[in-house]
Amino acid sequence: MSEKHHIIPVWFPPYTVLAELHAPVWWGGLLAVLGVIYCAMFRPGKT
Amino acid sequence: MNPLFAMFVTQRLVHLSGVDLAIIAFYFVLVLVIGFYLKRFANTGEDFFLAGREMTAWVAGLAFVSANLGSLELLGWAGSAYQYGIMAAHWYWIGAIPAMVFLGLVMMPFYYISKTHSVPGYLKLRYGSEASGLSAVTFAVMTILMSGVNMYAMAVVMKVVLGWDINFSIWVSSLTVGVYVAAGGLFSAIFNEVLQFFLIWFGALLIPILGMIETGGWSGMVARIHQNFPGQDFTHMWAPMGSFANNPMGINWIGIVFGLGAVQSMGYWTTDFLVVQRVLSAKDIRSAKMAPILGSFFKMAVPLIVILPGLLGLAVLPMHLVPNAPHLAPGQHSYNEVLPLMLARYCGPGLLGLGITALVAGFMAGMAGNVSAFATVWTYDIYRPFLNKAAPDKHYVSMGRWCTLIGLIISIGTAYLVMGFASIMDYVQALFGFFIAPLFGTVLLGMLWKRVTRWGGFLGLLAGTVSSITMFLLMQKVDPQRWVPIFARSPLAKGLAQDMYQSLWSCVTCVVVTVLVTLVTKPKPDAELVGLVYSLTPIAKEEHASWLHRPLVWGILALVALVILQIIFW
Repeated sequence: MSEKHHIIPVWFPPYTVLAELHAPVWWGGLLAVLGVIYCAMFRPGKT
Repeated sequence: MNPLFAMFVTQRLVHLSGVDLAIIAFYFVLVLVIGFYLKRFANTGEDFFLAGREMTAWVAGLAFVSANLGSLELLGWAGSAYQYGIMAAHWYWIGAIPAMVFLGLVMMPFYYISKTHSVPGYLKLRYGSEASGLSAVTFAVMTILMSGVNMYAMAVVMKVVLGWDINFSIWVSSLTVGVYVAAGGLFSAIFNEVLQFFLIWFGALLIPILGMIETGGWSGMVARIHQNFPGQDFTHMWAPMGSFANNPMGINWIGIVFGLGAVQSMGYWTTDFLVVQRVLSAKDIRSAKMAPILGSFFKMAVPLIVILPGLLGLAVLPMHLVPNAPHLAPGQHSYNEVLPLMLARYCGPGLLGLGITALVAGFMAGMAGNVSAFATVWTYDIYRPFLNKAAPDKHYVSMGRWCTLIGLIISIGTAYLVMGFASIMDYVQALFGFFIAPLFGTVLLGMLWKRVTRWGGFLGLLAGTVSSITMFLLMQKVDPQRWVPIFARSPLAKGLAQDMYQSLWSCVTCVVVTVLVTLVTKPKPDAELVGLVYSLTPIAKEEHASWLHRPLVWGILALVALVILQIIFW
């Protein structure tokens, strides 16, 4: 995200190791996996 | 200006991308779809007001915690963690866990076996219409006022963080809640609360994870806090509690243990119908006992997404936040903004939308809890006994639906009232506290002592409430220098300490008056108290259940976990 999105300097990604972590990728991936598992386990019609 | 356009031009802290807005919009559509889908299941009064009493312990337990996890709770306690440090976690641990376990093991059987629809409903069965009426009216009024205050607080945060117009936030969020609760009743409120619980976690959990990575773990975070705030202790819960002067909260351990742990939290978690209603929806008595105990484990974990971000704010934010005030200087940010600030620090496009959705979900969960509890108490404890005793069930369901919407409109009115008179906000929050602590004394005595009489219960509740209001006025308005040392035991006691002692003394007053009046009045016959009082109620034993399914086992485990946490963060 660039400067234009933020007004004061607390913003994503801070100038730390976090920028290299790619949190949106793995966190989004984790949530997607959990969502797929939930849908498979509790799909309508499953007894 | 059209609010839809105003939201894009006012000053804000962060800018949402298209994907963020899409996530938020999807969430709004989803909760409405759930509400309309569940409408078909909410036909009778039992369905609409108690979700058909079909909920499993897990669902009831999650909804129980989620109804409390409102936006003020999230933002306010994260702000308190920034202000007071980890001592704010007392409100999640000693200020919640023992009360939840107590509700599950001791009080829930009576609520459940008596088949009451509400806490005032239990008081009507146990004492009569005087105590019930007082409790129902105060609860209904306070719930609606609190709901409006929360609504306004949330709208202000949305304005500061996102630049959303206050009117836009209030109307869109609250009407969405009104529509789905009016459609599906408690069914809809509960299922959405479960969804909201997970959303809040998924939206906020990344903050402590990335915060810990950035600071290098707990010890790294503590080192940074000491560097930013030299000489102040933000990371111990009990060590600075020896005296009022040793901690920024201005409270001592007696206030926390007895005021918070023994009275205020017991009052809130065991008699506030907003949360108890979720447990009453359980499918059987074992589930009803298990629900608050399972909820206690979830509650125990909430500091991870509320208190820890506040502490991380102390460690990593480049500016110092300031006390909450109506008008802050340019560039200043209040304690209550710490969670959105941390969200913005760690979350990029998409995740920011998820985080904002978590805040909105928190608001909606709290709001739905308020309006569904209000609709039930109004319909069953005020309208039916006092205004229309013999209407068909369908009429009461219809009344509940209309009440949901009317309660919502009144809440919106309160929100605008608060907007005009900011000081009302403090009074409304204080007012709510007036009724909770004495009510705990009244309900508990009624459950445990069969001798307590109708007038003992009513006059005890009234005396406790009046004493609470009197102490508040004396300490806050009349002469703080004279009365604070008397009631709160030290001239150094600050606001939270005063609240704790006020709760403690009002509960003591309630109990003393109840006992004295009981001793000079005639008790109810035993036959009328079966199912309502401990000594006259046969409670099913759990010998046939395996230890894994016994509420007592899980209750003990919750208390052991609580003790371990206290030792770790001593």
